[in-house]
Amino acid sequence: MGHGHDHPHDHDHTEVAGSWRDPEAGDRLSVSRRRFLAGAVAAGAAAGLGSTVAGLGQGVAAAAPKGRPTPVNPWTGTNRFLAGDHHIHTQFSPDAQYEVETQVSKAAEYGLDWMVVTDHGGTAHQKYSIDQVTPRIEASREAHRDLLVYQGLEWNIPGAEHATVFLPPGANSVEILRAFEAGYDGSVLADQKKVVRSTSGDGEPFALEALRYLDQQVRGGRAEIALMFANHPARRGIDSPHEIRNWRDAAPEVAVGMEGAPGHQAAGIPLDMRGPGKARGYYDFAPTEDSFPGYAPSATENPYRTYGGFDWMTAKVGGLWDSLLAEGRPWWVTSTSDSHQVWLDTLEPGEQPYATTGSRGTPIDTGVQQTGYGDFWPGYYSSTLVAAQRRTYVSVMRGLQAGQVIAVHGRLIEGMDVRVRATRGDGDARGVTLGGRTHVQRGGDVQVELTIELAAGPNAAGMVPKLAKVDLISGPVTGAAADRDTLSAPQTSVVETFEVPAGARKRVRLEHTFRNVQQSFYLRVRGSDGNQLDSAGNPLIDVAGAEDPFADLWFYANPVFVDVLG
Amino acid sequence: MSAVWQAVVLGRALSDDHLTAALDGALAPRGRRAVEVRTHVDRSSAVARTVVSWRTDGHPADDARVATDLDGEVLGPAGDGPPPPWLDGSGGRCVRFPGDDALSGVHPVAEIVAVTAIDRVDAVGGGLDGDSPVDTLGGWLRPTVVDGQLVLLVEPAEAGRWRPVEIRDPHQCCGGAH
Ligand SMILES: [Zn+2]
Ligand SMILES: [Zn+2]
Repeated sequence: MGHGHDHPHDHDHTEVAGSWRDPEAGDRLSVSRRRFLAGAVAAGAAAGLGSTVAGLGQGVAAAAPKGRPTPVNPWTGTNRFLAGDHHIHTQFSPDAQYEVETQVSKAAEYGLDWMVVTDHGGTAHQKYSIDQVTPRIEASREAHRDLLVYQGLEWNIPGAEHATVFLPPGANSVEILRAFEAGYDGSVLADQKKVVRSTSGDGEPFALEALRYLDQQVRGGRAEIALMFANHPARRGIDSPHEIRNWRDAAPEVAVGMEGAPGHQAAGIPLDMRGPGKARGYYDFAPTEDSFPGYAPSATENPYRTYGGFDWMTAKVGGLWDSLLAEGRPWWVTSTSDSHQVWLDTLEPGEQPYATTGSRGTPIDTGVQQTGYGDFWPGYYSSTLVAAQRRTYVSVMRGLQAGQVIAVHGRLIEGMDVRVRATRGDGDARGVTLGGRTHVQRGGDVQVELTIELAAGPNAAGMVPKLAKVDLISGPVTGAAADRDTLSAPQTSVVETFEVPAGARKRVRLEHTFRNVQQSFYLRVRGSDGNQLDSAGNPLIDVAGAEDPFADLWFYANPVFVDVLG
Repeated sequence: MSAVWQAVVLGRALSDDHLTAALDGALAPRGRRAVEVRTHVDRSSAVARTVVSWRTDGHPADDARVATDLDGEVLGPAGDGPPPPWLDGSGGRCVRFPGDDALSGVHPVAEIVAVTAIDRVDAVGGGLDGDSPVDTLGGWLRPTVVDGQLVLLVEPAEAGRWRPVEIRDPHQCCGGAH
């Protein structure tokens, strides 16, 4: 590796706000110092609580003096959201086409603050693409100093779907990604005959080893942080509930969530709107041999489809996501573009042979708008809003890791301040925000205050979206599921629906109080433009070839956990 | 039609088209044709395997030979004793069935039930009646066996129509590489 990425160039970039060069990333001394401090706190907390502490910023309360838990993600009221996208392809994927710089400038044009380049893992990618994409990402970072551009991978999880894996820029980041892909990508393992298929069940142990490997890179001080988000989790029914639980539990500081909404949101645009006329998100699969039988479509529901543009695991109240949250464990949702080929763009892939070069080459301009493409540019439709303390690589990843995240479509909202606190009885009076964990004395009251920033201008389709309703969803925390394939939380429900006044401007404030709380619980918030709802206010199943994505907008915020003491 | 179902565990993944072509190719020299073909997933071990079952228009053919051609292993004959659950109970998926070539366009539910071996059409979310138009997407139908009945599951499609939940050409990401 050359001089360029062996050492952080602190001397020229440290003081530049929004610089791509994160002063703390890759600084071994600061990594080990922080690791030491974090370890000391965690060890003390574990002793005080008498139980396992997964780590800081993980939604697991550590103990403070006097035996009271320390709130996680304490509310400050000063959070600023940075919009991003952790799932973007380039010409270094066999089924995509754009230059890195094209995707980065589009992300900047459509207002993103951070983005992750995630080309598909595979033998050719590992061998040929990494060395080509790395300098291009570095060049784009220099050209777009106000945008954080992460290098990542769309990992073929052995035995399962795809996932985003990424690290902040650092001295070892590229080598960690390279070794990770060589050792643990499902497609690579299948080529090496170490598994029967990329998605066959014999890959499951490799997936857990892979996540532990990333965790060890962080613990060993070789990386500041590493994250994994499961992508399009229900699309083919091959991410079984026990696999998701196993990933989370194998490396809770790395495997932190999934796409609440997949990309390819233009795929359902009708043919008569010059769209591809396919299923929204390209969610048009049926069960195959590697699918989990519990996801079988039925007269009641089809887990293989999106609902209001969101993956069934997230969109169903009391569904799979809620079953994970009801365990009292963190698992966050996001929203991404999965941008490969953009609707109505005129480019088509270059002619370079991917298998032998790891690149499609320079895309070719056909001069004709391609109506069959099903994706949007990064930032055009899908945003993952992250509350980060600073505009740095590590800080944004810490926000993601801590669940201070809202998944948004079509600029439905700009952000949301969430404060959950004990207002009557002994408890955490300051309260916590998204992804956090607070506490209340048994019998006390817990107040939820939401301040939602409404769309401040038109979205990419040229319309100012109107938030019509907000649902507060809640369910009891019932502990670890005895059956690791549990996929429902029947006690979780919508506890209050707020109508947003049609004339609302700038922001709306909403409030709900949980009174006389007797049991630990969690709560989460979703909102909609109100255009496509069933009689219970839930999103409708998306219909192939009949989905204008801008006419069916939702946001999903991540949960807050409330522990009952005494 | 032979009452005897024969079955082979597939040694590698095959598309339905490859599967039926291979089966036809293996049976034709014996003057047989598979009139019904079903698949079923065997999840008894860590790596799931697809089982293909068929019955012919005559006496059962030498299934060891068929297994060789399909790169599979012989599971059947299933003629003795109770039929395996994917044939008679639940879980089987019908690749070829009586009447499957009778339809190719948009047909009302009642007609589908009348002219094919499909016993029932169910809809995701309900709301179907005998007149409901189902776009068969070129006649590619994959009913499943539910409590011994052939059930076609459909879902809402554009223009007030319905379409099968399983379609022939779902979007292949990565060119179908994984
Ligand atoms: Zn993917
Ligand atoms: Zn992707």
